[in-house]
Amino acid sequence: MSKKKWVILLTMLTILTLVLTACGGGGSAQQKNASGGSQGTVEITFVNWATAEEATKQQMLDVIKEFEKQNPGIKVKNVPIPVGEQLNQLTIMTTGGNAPDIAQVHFDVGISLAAMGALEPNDNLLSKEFLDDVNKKLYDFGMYEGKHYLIPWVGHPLGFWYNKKLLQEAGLDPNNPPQTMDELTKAMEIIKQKLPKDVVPLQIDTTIRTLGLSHEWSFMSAFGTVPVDGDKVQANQMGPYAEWLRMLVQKGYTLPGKKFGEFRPLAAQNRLVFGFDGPSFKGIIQSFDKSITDEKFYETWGVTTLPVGVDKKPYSAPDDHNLAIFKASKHKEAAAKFAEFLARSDFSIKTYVIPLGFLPTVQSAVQRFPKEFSDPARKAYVEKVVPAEVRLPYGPNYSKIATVVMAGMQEVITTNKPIPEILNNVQTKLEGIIHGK
Amino acid sequence: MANKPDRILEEVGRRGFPRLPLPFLLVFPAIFVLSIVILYPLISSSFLSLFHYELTKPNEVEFNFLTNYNNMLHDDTFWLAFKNTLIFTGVSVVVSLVIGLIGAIAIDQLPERFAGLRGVVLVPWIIPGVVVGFLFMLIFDVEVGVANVILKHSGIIKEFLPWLMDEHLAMIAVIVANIWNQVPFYILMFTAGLKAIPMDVKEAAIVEGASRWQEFIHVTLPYLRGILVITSLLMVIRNFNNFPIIYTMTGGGPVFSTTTLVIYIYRLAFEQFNLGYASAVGIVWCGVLLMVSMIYVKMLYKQVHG
Amino acid sequence: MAGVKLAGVSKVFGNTTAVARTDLEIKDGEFLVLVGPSGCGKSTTLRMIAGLETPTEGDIYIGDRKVTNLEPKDRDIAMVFQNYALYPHMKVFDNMAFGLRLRKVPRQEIEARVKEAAEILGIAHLLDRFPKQLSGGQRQRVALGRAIVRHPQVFLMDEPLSNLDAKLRVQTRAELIKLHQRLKTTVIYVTHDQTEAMTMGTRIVVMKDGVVQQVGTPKEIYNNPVNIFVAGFIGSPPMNFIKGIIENTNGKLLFKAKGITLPLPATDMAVPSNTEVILGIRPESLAIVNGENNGTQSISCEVEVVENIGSETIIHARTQGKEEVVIKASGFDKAPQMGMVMKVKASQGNMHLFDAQSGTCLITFAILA
Repeated sequence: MSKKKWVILLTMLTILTLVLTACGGGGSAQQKNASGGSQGTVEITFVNWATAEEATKQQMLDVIKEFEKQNPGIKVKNVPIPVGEQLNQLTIMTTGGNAPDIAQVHFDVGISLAAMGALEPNDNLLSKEFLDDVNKKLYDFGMYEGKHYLIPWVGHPLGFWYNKKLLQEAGLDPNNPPQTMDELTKAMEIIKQKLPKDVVPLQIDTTIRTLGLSHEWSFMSAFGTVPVDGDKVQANQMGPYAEWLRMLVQKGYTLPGKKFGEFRPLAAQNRLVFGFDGPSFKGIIQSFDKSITDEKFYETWGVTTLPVGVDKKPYSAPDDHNLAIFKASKHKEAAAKFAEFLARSDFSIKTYVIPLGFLPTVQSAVQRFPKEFSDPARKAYVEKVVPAEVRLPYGPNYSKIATVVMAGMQEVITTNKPIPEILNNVQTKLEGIIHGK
Repeated sequence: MANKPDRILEEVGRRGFPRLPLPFLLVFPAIFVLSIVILYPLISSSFLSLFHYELTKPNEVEFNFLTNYNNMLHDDTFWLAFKNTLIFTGVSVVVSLVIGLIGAIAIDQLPERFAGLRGVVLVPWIIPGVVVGFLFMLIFDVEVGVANVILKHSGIIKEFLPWLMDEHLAMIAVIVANIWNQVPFYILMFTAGLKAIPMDVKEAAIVEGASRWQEFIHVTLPYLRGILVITSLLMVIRNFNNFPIIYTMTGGGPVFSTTTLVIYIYRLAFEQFNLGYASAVGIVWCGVLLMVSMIYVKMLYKQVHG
Repeated sequence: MAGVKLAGVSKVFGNTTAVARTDLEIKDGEFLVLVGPSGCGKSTTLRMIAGLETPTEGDIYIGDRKVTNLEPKDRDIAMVFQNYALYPHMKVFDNMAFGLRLRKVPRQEIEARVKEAAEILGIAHLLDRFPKQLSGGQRQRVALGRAIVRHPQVFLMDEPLSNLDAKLRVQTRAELIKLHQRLKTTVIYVTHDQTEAMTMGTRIVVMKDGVVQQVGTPKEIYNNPVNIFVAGFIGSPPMNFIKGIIENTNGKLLFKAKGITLPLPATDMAVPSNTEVILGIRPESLAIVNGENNGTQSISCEVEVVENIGSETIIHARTQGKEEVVIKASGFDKAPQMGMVMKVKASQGNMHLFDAQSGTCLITFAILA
């Protein structure tokens, strides 16, 4: 092509691009006008996985409906996303200028979003009575750089579920689950010998996911060393835990590479002995097998804190659900009102929180619903597991840390490389992430 | 000889009012669309690759020139992903090629009344990658997978193997799934190629004293050479890009043992939000792919005009 | 060099009989042409001799060897295909050397043989080219050369000239004859073109529907066709056929058709009266009768088309019985005009009487001028 033709080509390209972008811009502007122009009522967008999962969908929709009834000026636009996609989707929505008003998030995702600058601090948005009532520990887990970004909605800490029937079949005391990690290991050995081959002794998540790290974190704590403690990187001292993890897989005490959710069907089939799962464990198992009544469930399952390790302290990781209000939201007050309704209203606690097996995050709930709190599992959670919850190294680097640590743990269970070598490698990478660029 | 029509068109262009020749006008919409969906992202990501840019740290965005590329040199995961890409692509292409060739020859010799079988053979090819991934994830599952059951029954393995949780087995498993998915394509291409070989040339070789094997080597294979090269290159490009099968089956794991460059880029960009670095890796990957594509285009041109 | 023998060979594909039981003996050094319309089984016969098809029954011998179940490569034959079947990825030299290399002939000998064959065929300057760089005629020569270098016992040629243009075909035909005279190797040659068959064959085998109709020298086939098919297939323009009946008056035969009464020469054959027959006369046996010669032996007919070829004139006419008659006359000075009624008579060569039902030849008479 001649030079002239190139010039013409480029000119035409430019013009077309301009025309197209102009059209696109015009379109979105119109959209904004339309959404802002609705008089009287405001619409808030609510991104959540509660309506993306069959077990919780209907209850959530009921709560939203009730909220809209009680607050005729506010409409809630429901946007379901899968739980594993929250960080991904919310980040993209935010960077794309399409952030929701409010979203359901786990701690790690919430703090990452806060670090990204996507969230609005809520210290001044929430009412005083709510702040007085909310569980202080959980509320403070949601702090980043001195400000609160997350509103605790439902408690879902991981507790140690034990299958009494299978323990009995293995000749172990069904009412006295292992208290220490050593006892746990010993019990698993007996289970492996005495019970059929398809019984899996322990639920532990070994996937390379942030959820994997939060699942394993409590086990790591029990063995004395977590990979990152504040600014301190100490992955190279995780030898005992890594050895134990490798042993678990080698001896067939768990299924490697599975998400912790993938153990739940086994539990419903009575093929799992020790679970490490949230209080919704019961509801989920019942949803797999409708014939399991509450009574039947409690005949089989008991729950307590994770067996203790070197420091004799039980640990639990927060898999709690929070609400986050976005900086880009135009209706932050409405969103805050909605958040308080979800976390604190009688209707929400009665319809959503308690029936699904979650724990309320407001202290007044125990007085308001004394009967519901006599449930053995909920009691154990409130009295033992919640106090054992610890905060993980949430922050902008959390997902990178999780990838490195969990990749290292996978290396432990899928290769025969010397453990110190693997851990030193993890150590170097973590130092790179936390201390240098 | 080929010059003549061009010259005529140019003449027309010179005399007619729109000075742009007709072929150019016809190609323009395609070029325009391509430049929006390909050129723009390409330029934009090469630009991004020169920045330290993490979505999670919007305040730390800064121009850092070639630092991302320099980091890549020392990033053992990058090199592992690069190696995995070569292994995955190489083994997939070579094995599929051989199986595809054998399959095509077998199908070519089927009597006419089994012609329907040709359609059946194509089935794996039309199944989406994600579905193939899920299918083989189940097949290779350590607990319920069919692969283990069959291998154990036939005495090849003694214990069930954790296919997707072993650094070597996982790569084998994804490659097996990939080969299953794409062999039909090779069969299709080679069947077409075989059909194009004149019968009498094969017969000439047979009459001249060639055994079936010699005939295959000296006549059939040379006839297929063009298709062989082009199909291979096409599949090299395709496998370089293969995301769904690997991602659904292993997510790139265990550890990084099935992480190819595309998977790595995805993780960098959409799990760690490290857009600058992900762009840099993407540009390198693009460069490698571009080289293969250039060879492909050259071969294709040779095939058509040579 | 060797002869070829087919003993009771047949080939059946599914429900179709491609070749019915055939016995055929081809002498050493002979140039035998298999001729017939397409689908007559001539190619299948050739392919069975080549070993590309296995006979359903019967045996094939090359020389004294029974080759029925031998692979093509063990039969010591060379074949030339209609579409040349050259290896497109090999140069001319390699195309010609391919068979020799497979047989592990020493390199020097290969070179000598290829050079020799190339000289004979006049393609020595093309040895470095690829087939696609050659013209049709040149490709044909390479295909021939590929056969020649092997020094086979038998050449099998499957319509080798049919893809050449008319002029080249005539030229190559002559060259093939010369080549055969020089090499003296047995050739079995398949064609649908009776001219090729007549000009090239030492003997001709005429086939139809898988059945051999007649085997003989070109002269035999031309002069004494055994049936109406052979009579009509060989010769150009084809033989004239006129339907009629025989009147036998004490051994004196008379052919009668509408407007035609033709006394036939004396014969020993007893043909009863009123036998339905077909009279066959070649166009070149007929001559236009001048006005004054108005004997009973002449046939009156109306001229429809006159084709002047230069050296000769082909006249298409119609008898009173509306049967077409073609007359081939030399020169065109005396050519009649269209629409003219003229008289023709048998003047030379042979006349044939065919049974109207079976088509077999009853009697062949020499025409007494």
